[in-house]
Amino acid sequence: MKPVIKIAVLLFVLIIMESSCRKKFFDLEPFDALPIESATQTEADLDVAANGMYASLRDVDLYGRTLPLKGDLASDNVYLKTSNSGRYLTFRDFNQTTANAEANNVWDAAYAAIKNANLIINAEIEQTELVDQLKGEALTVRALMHFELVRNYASTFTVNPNALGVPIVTEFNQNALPSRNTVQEVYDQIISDLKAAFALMTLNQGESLVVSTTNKVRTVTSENVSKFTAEALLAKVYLTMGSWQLARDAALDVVNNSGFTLVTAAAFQAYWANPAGRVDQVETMFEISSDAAANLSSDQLSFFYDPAGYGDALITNDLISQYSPSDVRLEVINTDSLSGALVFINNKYSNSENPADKDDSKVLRFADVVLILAEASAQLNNTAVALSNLNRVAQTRDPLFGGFSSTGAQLISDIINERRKELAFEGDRYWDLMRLNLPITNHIKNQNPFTPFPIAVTDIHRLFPIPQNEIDVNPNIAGQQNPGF
Amino acid sequence: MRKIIAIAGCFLLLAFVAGAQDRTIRGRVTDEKGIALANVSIVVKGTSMGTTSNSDGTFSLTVPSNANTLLVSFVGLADKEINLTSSSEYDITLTAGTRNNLDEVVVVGYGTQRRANITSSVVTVRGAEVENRPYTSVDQALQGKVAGLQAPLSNGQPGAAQPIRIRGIGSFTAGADPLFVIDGVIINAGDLTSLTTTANALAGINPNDIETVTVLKDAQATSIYGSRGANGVIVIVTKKGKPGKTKFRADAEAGYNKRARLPRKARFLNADEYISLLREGGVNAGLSPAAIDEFAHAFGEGSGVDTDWRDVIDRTGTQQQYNLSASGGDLRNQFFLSGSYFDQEATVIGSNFKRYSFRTNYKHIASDALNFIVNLTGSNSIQHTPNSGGAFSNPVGSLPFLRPTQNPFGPNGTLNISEDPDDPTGFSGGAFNPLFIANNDRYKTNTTLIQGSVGGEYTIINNLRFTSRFGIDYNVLEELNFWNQFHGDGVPYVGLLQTNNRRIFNWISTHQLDYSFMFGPDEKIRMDAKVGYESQKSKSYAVASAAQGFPPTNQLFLSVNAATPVTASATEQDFSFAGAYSAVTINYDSKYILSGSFRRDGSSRFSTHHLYGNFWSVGAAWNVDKEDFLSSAAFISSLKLRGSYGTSGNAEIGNYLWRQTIGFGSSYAGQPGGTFNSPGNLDLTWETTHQLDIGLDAGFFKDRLSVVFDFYRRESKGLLFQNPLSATVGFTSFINNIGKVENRGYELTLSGTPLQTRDFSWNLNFNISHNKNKLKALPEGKDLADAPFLLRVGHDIRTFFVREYAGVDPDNGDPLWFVDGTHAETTNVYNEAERQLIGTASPKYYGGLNSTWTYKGIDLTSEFVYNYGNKVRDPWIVYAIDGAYPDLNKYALNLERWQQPGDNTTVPKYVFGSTNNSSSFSTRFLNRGDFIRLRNVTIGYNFNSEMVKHLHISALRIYFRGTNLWTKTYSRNLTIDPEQGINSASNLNIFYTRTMTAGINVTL
Repeated sequence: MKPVIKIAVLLFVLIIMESSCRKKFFDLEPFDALPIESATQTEADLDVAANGMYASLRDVDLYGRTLPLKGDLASDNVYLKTSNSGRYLTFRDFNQTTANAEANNVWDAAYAAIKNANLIINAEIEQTELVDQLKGEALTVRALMHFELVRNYASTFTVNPNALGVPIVTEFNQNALPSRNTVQEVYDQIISDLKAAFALMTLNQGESLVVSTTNKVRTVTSENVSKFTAEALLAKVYLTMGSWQLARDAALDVVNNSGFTLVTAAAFQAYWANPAGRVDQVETMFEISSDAAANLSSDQLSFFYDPAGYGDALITNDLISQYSPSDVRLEVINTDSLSGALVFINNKYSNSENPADKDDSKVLRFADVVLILAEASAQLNNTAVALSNLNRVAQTRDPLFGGFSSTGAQLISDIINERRKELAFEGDRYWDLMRLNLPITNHIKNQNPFTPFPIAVTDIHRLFPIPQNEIDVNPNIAGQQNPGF
Repeated sequence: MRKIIAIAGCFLLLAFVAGAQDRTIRGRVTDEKGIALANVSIVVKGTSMGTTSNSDGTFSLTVPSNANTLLVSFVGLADKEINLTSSSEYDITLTAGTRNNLDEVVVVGYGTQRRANITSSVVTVRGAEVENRPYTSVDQALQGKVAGLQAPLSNGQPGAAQPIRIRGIGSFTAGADPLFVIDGVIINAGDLTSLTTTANALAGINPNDIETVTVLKDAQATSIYGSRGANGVIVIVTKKGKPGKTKFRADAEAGYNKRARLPRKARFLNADEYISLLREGGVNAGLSPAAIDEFAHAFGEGSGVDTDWRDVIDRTGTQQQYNLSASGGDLRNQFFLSGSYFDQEATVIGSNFKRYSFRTNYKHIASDALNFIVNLTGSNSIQHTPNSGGAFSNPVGSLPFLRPTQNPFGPNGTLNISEDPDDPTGFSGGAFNPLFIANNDRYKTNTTLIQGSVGGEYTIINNLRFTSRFGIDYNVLEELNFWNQFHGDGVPYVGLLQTNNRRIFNWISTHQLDYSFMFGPDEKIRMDAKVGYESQKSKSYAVASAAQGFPPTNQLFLSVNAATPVTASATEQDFSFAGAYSAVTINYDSKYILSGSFRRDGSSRFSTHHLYGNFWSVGAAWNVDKEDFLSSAAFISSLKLRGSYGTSGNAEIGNYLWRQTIGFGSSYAGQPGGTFNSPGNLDLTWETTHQLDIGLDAGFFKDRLSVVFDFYRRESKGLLFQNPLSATVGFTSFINNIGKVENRGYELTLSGTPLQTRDFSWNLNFNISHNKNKLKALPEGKDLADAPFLLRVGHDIRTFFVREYAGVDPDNGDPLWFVDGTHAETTNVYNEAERQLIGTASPKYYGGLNSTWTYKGIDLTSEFVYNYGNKVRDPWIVYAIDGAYPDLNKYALNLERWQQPGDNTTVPKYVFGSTNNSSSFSTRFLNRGDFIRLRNVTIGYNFNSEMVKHLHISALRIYFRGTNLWTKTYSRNLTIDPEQGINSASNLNIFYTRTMTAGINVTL
C-alpha cells in the first residue's frame, strides 16, 4: 500500500470511530431516576408519582413531626420537659426570628409537596377515571398545603382576609419569584381546588380501580385522599374562614353520605395502636403512612413523645383535668415518674420501637367533621343539630357521660373543648384558638402546673415570619415580611 | 468542527510527506566521567529502527535520510534526544539527569519532548526519589519536591487518601485534585471508599515500579487534557525494559514506625492533675463541698487509676517492603517484571496496610515499522482503618473523650468493658475502651486493582507514526465494618455488620498520529505535530448490606451468622468522556519555539446545551543561550525564557447533575414512589481555568547552578455553586456555574552543586512557592458560610470566620473576646463578639530543601519541607480544654489557667460545667501553622563495583533511613502537629509516623 492510502484508511477509521457513537456515548442516564418527561406518561406513572407526592408529606417539617407537634406544643396541651433535646424551643417561647429553622423548613417542604402535586395535576395525559381520581387526590394535597401555608404564615382569615397571604403556585416555573397573594385569594384557590377534586374523584375509602398499563389494583386507603377527604377538608377550610353555612353544608354531606363512622369505645385503644392504613371507613379520613421501610426513624413524631426516644413532650395537667375518669381517651395517655413528679405521656403513637411498622400521622378524622358540623350548626343557632353531633362524639368516647345540654356561647365553648380533648396530639388545638382569635395560654419554660403565659392576639409570633432565605432570594417578597419581623 | 480539524491536520501532514533514502551514522556513548557505556539503546525517534551500543560504547545505525532525532536511553540515566544533522558522527554523553538538562527527554501530555523545546511549566520527579520510601502511595512522596505542588500530611493512616493542590485551590464544589495518568491511562484516583474512613486508589500502585512522575502545571501543559486539566495533571510513567543484559534487582527494607514527635503542649493531664483541676472548677462554679466530693468521686477520685491514653493506643509498628524486579531484552523484545510486598503498621492500634503487587511491562518489536506494548499491574491491598473524628470508637479520640481515671484493664488483666454508671473507672456513656474495640471490631478495606493497557505503534512512513492504545483501570473494593456486641457501637444491635462491595471499571481508548519534519533554510525549522482521539467510560457498581443480631463471639462477623438482615441495596453510576486533541511545536534551530494545542471534549456530565467544550493553549520559548551575543558570557550555560496562555477545564462536577429527573426511593405505604427530585440545569458545564505562565530556566557554570522561575495567574470561572431559588418553586437551589476564583503566585527552584571535588560532592535543591488566592465572584455576590470559613469576594477561599479572642480578664479570670474588629471593646459573652475574617488555612509560602552529600561510596541525603503563613486548628479541642465538659480529660495547657486576681494568662478560670463558651472556636485556637520538617534522612553506602564483582553483583547498596525525625514549629500553644491537610484542621486522625528503616539494594 502506498503511504497516502494507508493514511487515508486510518483517517477514515478515526472519523468513523468518533462520529458513530458520540451522542449515544454521552447520553448516560442515572440508575435511580428517569427524565422528568417520562414521569407522567401512563396511569402507572401517575400512580407512582402520587406515592411520591404522599411520601413528601411525611417530611419531618410537615406531618412527619413539626405540624402535628406545633398545634399542641404552641398551645396548652403539651410542654417540653426540663432536660430536652433542644428541639422546638421557639414553639414554647414564642420568640422565633426570620432565621428560625421551622419557619424556613415548613415553607420549603410545603412548596416542595405542591411541586409534586402540580406534576400530577398538570400531567398531559388522556382522561380516565383513574387519572381523574389521581388528579383529584393531587388537587386535595395542593389545597391542603396552601391551607397549611396560609394559616401558618399569614393573618387569620377571620381577622383580615385582605392581608397578605402566601404565593399561590399552580405550575412549575424554576424562575418564578412570586409575591404574596392575599389571604382571600389563597382561600379562593384552596376552595376551588377542593371543589374540583371532589368533582373529579369517584373513589371513597376502600374502593379500587385497576391501573390500565400494569393491571395493578389500586385501592384508596386511609393513607390516600378519597373523595370525601376533599369534602371534609373543605368543611374544615370553611370553618376556619368562619363561613358557617358552607362549613355546615359540607360537613353534613360528609356525615350523611360518606359512610364513615366513629370508632367505638371498645375499639378505641386498638384503633390508635394500629399502625396500618384502613379501608373500613372507620374514623380515619386521611393519614400519612410510615412503615418499617419508609419512616423518619428518630425524627418521627412518636419518637418525640416516647420516653424511650427523645421523650421531650409531656401532657399538661390542664389538659388531663378536662377528661372524666371514664373517658376512653385516657387509655392512650400513660403516666410516668420524672424526678419524683407524676407526668403524663401521649401514647396515641405507640409504634416508635415496633420493627414491623410505624405510626401514621393523622391528618383528618371523622370525629373532626362531626364536631365541625356541631360547631357550624351552633353558630347558625341550630342548637338541636349542634348538641346531637357534639354528644355523638362525647358520648362515644365516654359511655358513662350523660351528654351536653348547653346553649349559646356555652355550647360553642363546650364544642371547642371537646375538640381539644378529641384532637389532642394531632396538631389541632392551636388552630382553634387562632381562627377564633383567642389568646393562647402557653406553658412558660417547662412548668407544670404552670404560671399562665398568655400569648395575646396581637403577638407577632403567632405567625411564622416569611423565611429569611426567601426574602434574600425573592425581591418581590422582600418588602412583604409579616409585621414585626 | 472537530472533524474539520482532524482532516485539516492530516492534509497538513500529507503535504510534507516526502520520499526517503537511507544513510549510516556512527557514534560512541559515554557517561559524565567519559566511561564507555555498553548496551545503550539508540533508536530513531518515532520508529522502531535502532541498535544497542557495543562494550566500548560505539554503535552504528542505518537511518532514513529524513530521520531527524535519535532517542538514546540507558537504565538509570536520563533519556536523551539527539538532533541529527548532516554529520554522521555523534559523541553522546548520558547523565543522571538534572532539572535543567536541555537534551533531557521530558514527559508531556500524550508524548515526550526535549526539555529545550518545551514552552510550558513541567517538573519531573525521578523514580529514585520516590522508591523504597515508607509511603503507601507515590503521591505522598511529592511534598516539597515540586514547586507549586502541595501534598501535606493529613492522616497517619497507611493507605489514606492524599489531597494534592497544584497552584492553589481552583474549585469549591467540584473536585480540586489533579488528574492522574499512568502510562497513558487516565485513572480513577482519590478516595473511592463509601463506608470505611479513607483509602487511596493510588496505594494500589507500587512506587518502586515508577520511572518518572511528571507534574504538568500550566495551561500549555494541561490544556491537551481538555475538560480535565484545570487542577493540573500528574503523569506517571512506569519502568520499561531496555535492550541489553537482563538486570535483576532486589530491594529489601525493614524497620519500625513510632509516633512522630508531637508539640510539647499536646500533653494531657494525669489523674491527680485532672482531679485537682476538677475540684478547683467545682469551687469556681460555686458548687457545695458535698457536690464537689460527689463529682470528684463520680469522675474517679481515689480509684487509684492513672491511665495515659496516648500510651494505651500507641504502639511501635513494623515497617517492611520487599521488591524484586527483572528487566532487559533485546532489540525485538523488552520487558520489565516486578513483584513486591509492602507492610506497614501504623503507630496506633488497629491501623495497618499490606499490599501485594506485580507488574509486567512488555514491548515486542515486530518489524521496523510495527511494535506492540503491554503494560499490566495487579495488586491487592488490605487496610484496617479505625474510625476518626468524634466517633466513640476512634482510638485517638480516647485522648479527649476519656478520663485518666478510666481503666482499660479489668481484674486479672482482662479488658475493662464495665458500663456500670456507678463505676468511675468504667465506660458508661461516652467513648469506648479503645483496646477492646481494636481487638473486637473490624474496619477493613480490601482493594484489588488491575490496571494496564495494550497498544501498538505503527510507523506509516518515516516520522509519521500511528499509536493506538486500549487501557483499563479496574478497582474492586470490599469494605467491611463489624461492630461487636459486647462493647461499643454494636451493643444496641447485638453486633452489626455493614458491608459495601464496589467495583469500578474504567476503560480508555486512545488513537494518535505523530508527525515530525524539518524544513526551511538548512532544514533548521522543525515541526512536531500530533492529533488524537480519546474516549473513556467509567462505571461504578456497588452493593451495600447490613445485618444485625450476631452470635456472642467476635469471630463470626459475616452476615450469614446474623439473625436479621437490615439493608441490601445496589447502586450504580457511570460517566463518559471523549475528545479530539492536537498539539504542534515548531522550533527554529532550537532557538525560537512556538507551540499550541487544541482539544475538543465532550462528556456525559455536561448538559446537552454544552456537550462539547474547546480548550486551547499557546506557548512560546526563546533559548537565549543559543544566541551569539550570549556566547561571550561563558558563565551562562543555558538560558531560556518562556510564556504560555491557555484554557483547561474541571469536569469533576458530579454525574447526571444537569438532568431534570424524577427520582425513586421515596416509597409510600409499601408502594414505589417517585418525586421530581432534581431541577437540573441545562446550562451546566465544566469549570474553566484560564492560566498565564511566564517562566525562566537558566543554568550557570556548566549547569552547576540552575534556576527555574515561574510566575502564574490562574483564573477559574464558572465554579459550581448552589444557586438559591425562591423555595416556592419547590426547590431551594440548583447547581450552577457562577463562582470565580483567582490564584496567582510564583515558584522558584534552585538546584546546584555547591561543592564538587574528586571524592566529595554536595548537591542541593531548594524550591519555594507563593500563592495568593482570591475569590472574585459568588452567587449573587453574597457571602457564603462554610464554617469555619467564610467565602467572601475579595478574600482567600479558606479564610477563617472567627471570633477574636482578647485573653483573660485578670480581675476575674473570665474569657474575653473583642466585640468587633475595632478592638475598642471586649465582652465576656461569646455571642456578643462579632466574627471576623482572620487568617487562612492555605499557606502563603511552602516548599522543600533537599541536600545530598556524597563522599566516595557514602551518601547522605536530607529532605526538608516547610510551610509558612497559614493557621491550623484542632476542632476537637472544645472538649479538651476548660470546664465545659468536666467529665473528660484536659490538655495540660489548662494548668496555665487563671487562678487569682492579677494572674496574667490566656487560659481562663477553670469552671466546672461552664457555659461561657471559652473553649468554643475563636482565634484562641487558631495557631500558626508554620513549620520546618525533616521529612527524610538517608545515609547509604554504595559498595565499589570492583569489590562486589566476585559476588557476581553489579551494584550493592545499604542504607538507613528516617522519616519525620525532626519538626520545628512556631506556635507556643500548638497541641497538634502543624501539618494538617488542605484545610489545616486535625480530625483526631492516626498519628503521623516517625519511621526508621534499614535497607539493602542488590543489582545483578
